[in-house]
Amino acid sequence: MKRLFAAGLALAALIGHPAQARPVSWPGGVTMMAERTGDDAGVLVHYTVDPRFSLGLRQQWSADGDPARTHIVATRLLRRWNEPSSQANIYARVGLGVAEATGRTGSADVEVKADWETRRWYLSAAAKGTRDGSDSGAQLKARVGIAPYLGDFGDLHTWLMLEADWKPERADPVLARPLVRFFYDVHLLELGWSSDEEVFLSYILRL
Amino acid sequence: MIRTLILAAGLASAAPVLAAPARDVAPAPAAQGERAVIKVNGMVCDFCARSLERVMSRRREVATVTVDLDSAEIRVAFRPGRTIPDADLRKLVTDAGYATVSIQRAPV
Repeated sequence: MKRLFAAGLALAALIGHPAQARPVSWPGGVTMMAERTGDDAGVLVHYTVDPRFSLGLRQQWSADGDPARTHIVATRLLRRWNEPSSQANIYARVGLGVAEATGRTGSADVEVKADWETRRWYLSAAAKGTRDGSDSGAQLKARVGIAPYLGDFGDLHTWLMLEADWKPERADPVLARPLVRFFYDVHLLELGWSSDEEVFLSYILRL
Repeated sequence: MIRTLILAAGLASAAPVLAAPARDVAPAPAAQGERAVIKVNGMVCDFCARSLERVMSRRREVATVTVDLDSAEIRVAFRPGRTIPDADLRKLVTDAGYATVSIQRAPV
């Protein structure tokens, strides 16, 4: 786990590198993201400072005795590939703050995410390391998605996706999570069901 | 935790203030101005392409913005007597997360 956090520090240094890419939103844009899984629920509100960087506040409530976390979150788009019929991105996110369970302790997490999509196909993978006081955790996620029809700008868009979620400290370390993604205008909604029979909900609003 | 929620809600409700002053895009005027057709790479997602609408419509020179995912084109109609130089259009496209392939101008 020390290696993971050494990598996180290296990543944090990389995030400060001005030559790296762009943010998830547009300069001046505000995004609200809420998610509920069997493990936790959380809300992140972030503001895109410039075309490469966003800053936000995240509150996460955890199940199974894990602490609740309050983090200031910095997100950097490290690299983007814009092709005629596809786009790919690599993002890095660092969260720093506090975790509260029986007491309050320092908390941090580091996440790297990559995605590739066309109008028909979607692939993503993410790796996350978490540290709450002396406790550490890790999580890997991957998704594949297909759009059953190609809508144009302004239409309701639908994606069918399958997510694999690996978290070693969980009772069931590997979960499969089929889900449906809808987006319309500035709203994105995901509804799913995990193999541990937990409901998955995710909502994003861009302002 | 309650303080955090209040802060998060405050941040969300402050969005219109934090965001650069967005301006409603008026309908295309009867006397039409110049038009630009911008071909872009990377525009595969409606949700993400909203950024193009936002960054373009903030500019006072812009009357309407139309995004076409099929042709990967953005069609910008300027207000009469106004325009945005190619270099600035390219920067707006870059700010929105895409790469400009070409810009074609159509006169009034």
